[in-house]
Amino acid sequence: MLQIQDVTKYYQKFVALEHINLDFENGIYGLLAPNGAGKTTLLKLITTLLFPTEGKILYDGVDIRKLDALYREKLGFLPQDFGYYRDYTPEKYLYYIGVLKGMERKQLPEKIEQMLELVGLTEQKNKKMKKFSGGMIQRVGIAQALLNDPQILVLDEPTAGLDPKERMRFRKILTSLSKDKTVLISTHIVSDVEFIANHIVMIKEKKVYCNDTAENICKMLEGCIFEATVEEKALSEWEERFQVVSRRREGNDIIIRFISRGAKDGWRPVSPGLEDVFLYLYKE
Amino acid sequence: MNKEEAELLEGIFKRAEEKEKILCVAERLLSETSEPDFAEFIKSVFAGIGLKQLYAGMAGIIGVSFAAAVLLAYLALQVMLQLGEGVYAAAFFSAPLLYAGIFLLSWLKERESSSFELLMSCKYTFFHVLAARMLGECLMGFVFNGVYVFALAVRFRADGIRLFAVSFSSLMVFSLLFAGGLLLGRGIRGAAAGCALWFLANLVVLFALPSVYGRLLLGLPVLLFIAVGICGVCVHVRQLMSLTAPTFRKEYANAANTRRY
Repeated sequence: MLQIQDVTKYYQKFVALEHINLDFENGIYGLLAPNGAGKTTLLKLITTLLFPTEGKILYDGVDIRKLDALYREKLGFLPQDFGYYRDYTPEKYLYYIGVLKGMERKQLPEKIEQMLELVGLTEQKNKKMKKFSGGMIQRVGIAQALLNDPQILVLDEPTAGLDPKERMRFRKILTSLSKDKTVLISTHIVSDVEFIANHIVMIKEKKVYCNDTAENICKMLEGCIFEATVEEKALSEWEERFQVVSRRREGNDIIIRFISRGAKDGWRPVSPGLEDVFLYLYKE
Repeated sequence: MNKEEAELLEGIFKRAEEKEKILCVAERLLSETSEPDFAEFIKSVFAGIGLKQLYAGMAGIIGVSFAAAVLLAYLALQVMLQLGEGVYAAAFFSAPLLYAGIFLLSWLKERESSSFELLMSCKYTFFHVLAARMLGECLMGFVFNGVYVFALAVRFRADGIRLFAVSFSSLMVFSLLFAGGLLLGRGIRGAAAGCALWFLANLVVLFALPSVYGRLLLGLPVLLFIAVGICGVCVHVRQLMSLTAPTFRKEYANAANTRRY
């Protein structure tokens, strides 16, 4: 189990994270927050790229700084800006990363084949990565993160550059892997984690704002989400009065989805989704 | 208590004792932040990463560095001969060229690929790769310089042992400054400063004190150069081990991204 105990992180005088307490067990954790909220800093602390100014991160009760390489052996990480060597083929690149991850050379070729098949790059395994699209590069990134069968898998904006089909495949992979692993996905795309994460962690104002299941988090706005049909000319007035989370056109009218503490005739109550909560929390 | 029961009980006691020992060792290990020892460092370089992976995809860099080192060594020789400093000065001045060339080009390669974050999360981090390459570059420089001083000794009928000693000490002093700069400056700028310091100091002595440079290299005892070289090897290995230690990684991360408030 991974425990974050009272972690605070400063960048010079700027507070990036403050008194973070989190426990991660096996399962998928979605880390949701807008850009610049501190998600990447938290992931960098977990992956030992940064060190807490205060507090500790423990793995199975031991400080990860003391475990050092033993901890990193159990780690799989896909950084936001995933660095790769343009002249390498995926096969060569995965072999190199596998060696640096401390994997046995004997088992590497077989494992690399498995990973390339998993991300659908078997046919491209001998092509240089400089010829790859952004989505293909991201798939190589996912493959390298999974290569050492990590106990803790940390993914920073993993679906960036993936098309809808690839996103679907990626979610399936994660769901199948999460039984015996701690998977942490940092994203600002709610749909990436809404239906696959067992827990959603939201960060607001440098602190953990909520840490619960998507279902329980959505209950925060139970009875507060409505839909209404409005004329186009009245839209701006509605937007001033309420927090409109989405709108769609139907003929000459516009159907809006909005947040309100009270109900009125003609408003249709709808079930809140995680996206509603996200927009509500980070409205400013 | 019969014999069977006694054996069973003894077995239980023995296992409990072993478990206690393991727990004690684990507790001791976990009570301190692990810093690598020499054997662990060498193991990680040669058995863990391996030379093949360490220089994978670097044939171009090594080739260019080698060509540049040959060219610059030739130019340095011509300049030293013109200035009347002799072949010892040429051997001393040219010794770190290959080391510096390979290191700086491989650093640029890593920088261009933005692989730092990913490599830092691996068992063998970016700094393990860096330190291992620096050790490799030292060895390559040693071999390259060996061939160069042999050629000089044959061509100019010079004292081969002195040439070798001068070149060896020069390479090691440069390596110390380079790695020292990296450790103290916590970044490539520090290493570049160490590199610049070495070349500037040489150029200052060469031009400010004409003929002293060559005379010093010819006059000082060979044993002194060898001793400097051997001490340099010992200190440099310690520097490389420090590069891979958690303490330096923390300082580097803090210098690069953060500072304690």
